[in-house]
Amino acid sequence: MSNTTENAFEQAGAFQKIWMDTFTKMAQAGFSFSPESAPPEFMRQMRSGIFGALAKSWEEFMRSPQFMESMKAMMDNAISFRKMSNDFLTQAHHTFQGTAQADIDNLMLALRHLETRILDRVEDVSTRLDRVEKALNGTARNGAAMGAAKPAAHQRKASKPKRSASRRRATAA
Amino acid sequence: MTETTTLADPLFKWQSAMMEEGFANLRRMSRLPYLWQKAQNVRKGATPSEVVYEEDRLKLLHYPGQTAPRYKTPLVFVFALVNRPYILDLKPGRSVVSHFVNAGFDTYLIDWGAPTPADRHLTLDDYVNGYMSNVIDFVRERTGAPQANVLGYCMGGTMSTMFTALHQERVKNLMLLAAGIDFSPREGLINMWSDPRYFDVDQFIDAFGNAPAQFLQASFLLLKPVQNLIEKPINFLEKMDDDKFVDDYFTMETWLNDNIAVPGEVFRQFVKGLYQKNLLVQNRMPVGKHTVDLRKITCPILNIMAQNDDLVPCASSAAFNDLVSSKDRKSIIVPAGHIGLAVGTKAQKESWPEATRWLAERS
Repeated sequence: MSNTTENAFEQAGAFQKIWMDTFTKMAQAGFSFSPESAPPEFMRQMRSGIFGALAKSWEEFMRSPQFMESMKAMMDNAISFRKMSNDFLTQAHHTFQGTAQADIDNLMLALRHLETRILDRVEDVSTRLDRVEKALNGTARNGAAMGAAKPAAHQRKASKPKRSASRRRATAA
Repeated sequence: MTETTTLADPLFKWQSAMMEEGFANLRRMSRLPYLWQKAQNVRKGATPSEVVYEEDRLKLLHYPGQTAPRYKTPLVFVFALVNRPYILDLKPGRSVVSHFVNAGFDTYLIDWGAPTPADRHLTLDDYVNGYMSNVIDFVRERTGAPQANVLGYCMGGTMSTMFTALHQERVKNLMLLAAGIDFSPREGLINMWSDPRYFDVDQFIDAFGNAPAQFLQASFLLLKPVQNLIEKPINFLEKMDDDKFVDDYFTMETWLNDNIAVPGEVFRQFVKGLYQKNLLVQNRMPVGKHTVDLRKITCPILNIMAQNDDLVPCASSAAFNDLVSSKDRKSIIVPAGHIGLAVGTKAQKESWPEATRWLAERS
């Protein structure tokens, strides 16, 4: 027997076991209450038992490799379909010389790269400015003779993690 | 004769009970138009607020309160990116925000807003070192306080942790509410489903841009399918003549179904860095050009966890207190679920007053 067939049988077996367990638990839950209780209450208790058993079995099922595999297959199909529709819509837009979402995405990405590069430069300039400031302060304190001294590495102010704010505005309270 | 009566009795009892139940169902059904009307007009938020700062889609809400703040350190709530933040101020009697406002804290809440496809490239760096950093600076400037208290809920808790580790000097006290820190425990289904063998986040985000709200909503529903898809509607049908229940139900359901998309890159970083590689607890989580080192957190910590949390299991949050350098650390475990932790009766009556006292002693 090939591996694929063996796997399929194993999966089918596991799947069947989950449902057999579910029905067994549901049946047990249904028959474990006294029929002497008031009918609606009895029905509610029975229902609650059945749902409890069902929930437990589903929880087990959703942790099983069978569920995970089927979820993966579903996700793969959804992703393929989305990609296909994205491609189709992009082509359709381009055919009519329109702007597709992919174009806007690319533009946004280019802007992000630009922003990153500018921020890196600003951060670099800011660090250098800090060094210059410290050096100047040191010069002022220690006199002209010490003025050219470069601050030691541990004295340099580490750049703070900070990104730009694109459209900051404080609203009047 | 006696024997016949005894035999028939249960049958009559059953019949009358079934008829009563039938009439009760009719009575409930007759309320459907009223309920439909009510469902359309659910109020969001309970405490009066004003928008004091805006940046892109972000809005910072300020809760002025009835009196002047009693504590000089302001409190900033940081909510997750997956839902709307009004769960923290759901309705009177079920509002976390009102506990702090009434206790005299100058309280703020970050509403991240709903991202559009143009926001798909936003990263954790933009949120933590950009938006959060700007908000905290704005609040410090506005109040004149050198530091702020931060309270993060769920994914907002994880982001608050990252922020505090990177900017400890700006945070006075850190409160976490069901925050995912250690993603190795396999109790939660989300942790299992995001296993790289079964979920290719790169392909997913490349195809969809942002993580769609419907996808997130379906994932949350599937965590407890029987409870969410079968028991809950039946429970509603049975209690739809109870005004208080209906009011709570609609408020809660409105929030639960008010999902928003998560920016694609943030989702990718979150799934890969946390769910799949568990980098935060290893002090290797990258945020922009920086790496989050939890040992740099030295401020007082209050870690609030939900015992029956199916989204962020207790074990996922509990690890946090041992990973930081703070000397002042406290945990509160609430016998509730992920949402009950904020709005549940037990949490509202016991845990939040305790959390408010904890913060008051340190502000």
